[in-house]
Amino acid sequence: MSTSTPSSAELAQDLAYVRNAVHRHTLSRDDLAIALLWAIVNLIGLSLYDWSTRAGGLFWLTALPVFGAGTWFWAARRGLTQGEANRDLGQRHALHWTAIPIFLILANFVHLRGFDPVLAGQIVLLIIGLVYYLGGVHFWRGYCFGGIALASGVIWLSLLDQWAWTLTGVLTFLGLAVPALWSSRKMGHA
Amino acid sequence: MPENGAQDTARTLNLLDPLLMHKGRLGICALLARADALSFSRLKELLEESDGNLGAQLRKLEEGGYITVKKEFVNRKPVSWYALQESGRTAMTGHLSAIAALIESGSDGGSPE
Repeated sequence: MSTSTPSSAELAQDLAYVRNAVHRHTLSRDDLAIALLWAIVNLIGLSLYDWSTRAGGLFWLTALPVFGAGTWFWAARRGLTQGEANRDLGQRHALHWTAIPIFLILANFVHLRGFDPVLAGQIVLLIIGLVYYLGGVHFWRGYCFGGIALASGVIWLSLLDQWAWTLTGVLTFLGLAVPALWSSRKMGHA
Repeated sequence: MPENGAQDTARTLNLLDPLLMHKGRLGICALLARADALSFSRLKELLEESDGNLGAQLRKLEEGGYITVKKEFVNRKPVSWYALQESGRTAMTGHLSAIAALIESGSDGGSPE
């Protein structure tokens, strides 16, 4: 392409080179590690509700701020060590994921009017599932699977008398971990 | 009609930015357009270029006023941060539009005389 007039084939080749570089830029192994971390957190946190509602509640009360802050710190440090400053992307992530604690706090008001706890659980799963799904739309497609798996808990809580939360936790774990491992493998081959 | 087509192609070719005719330089601008700033090592990793080649392309873009460089220390290591300037962003947008038009027209590399 360096000489006078480029052909359309040469231009297309150059664009493919740029596209590959941009694709590598879209995702890093740290992003996938963060998805794996939350796959495990969801597996433990959701399964706990089948053993003790109180333990599940306490787990999330601790896990959300601790792992949330941890993820934020991890992502910020990643930017610095990997040589990337992207304030806009950071702000979009922060705005997107803080929707979970905000709407969870609001969802607690469902309880105040004496709603069935199962119904409250279903509402919470729908909210978080939607946030994860939209995370897949905006950031990384794998979150779509995690979001659908989380929201599927609405079905299991209606149909099953036992192990509905554990099943939701396992499905959410798989919905996040399988795409993360798949993407990581693809990155390795790229 | 074919003459008109040739004229259109020639006109579009004139819209290509000479500085961005190199795929490495175009790649650098495309990546910098997606972030506030990227370090030399991050650009090298993403573009899979050698130190020497990447350094040369960055210097040309810097001399053209398309990008700026800021050097600082991160964890006691010197890091060069590159950022796209408004002139670079405008040039890249125009260049990409011209490329798209050329690909659409199916330019075969003939000389625009």
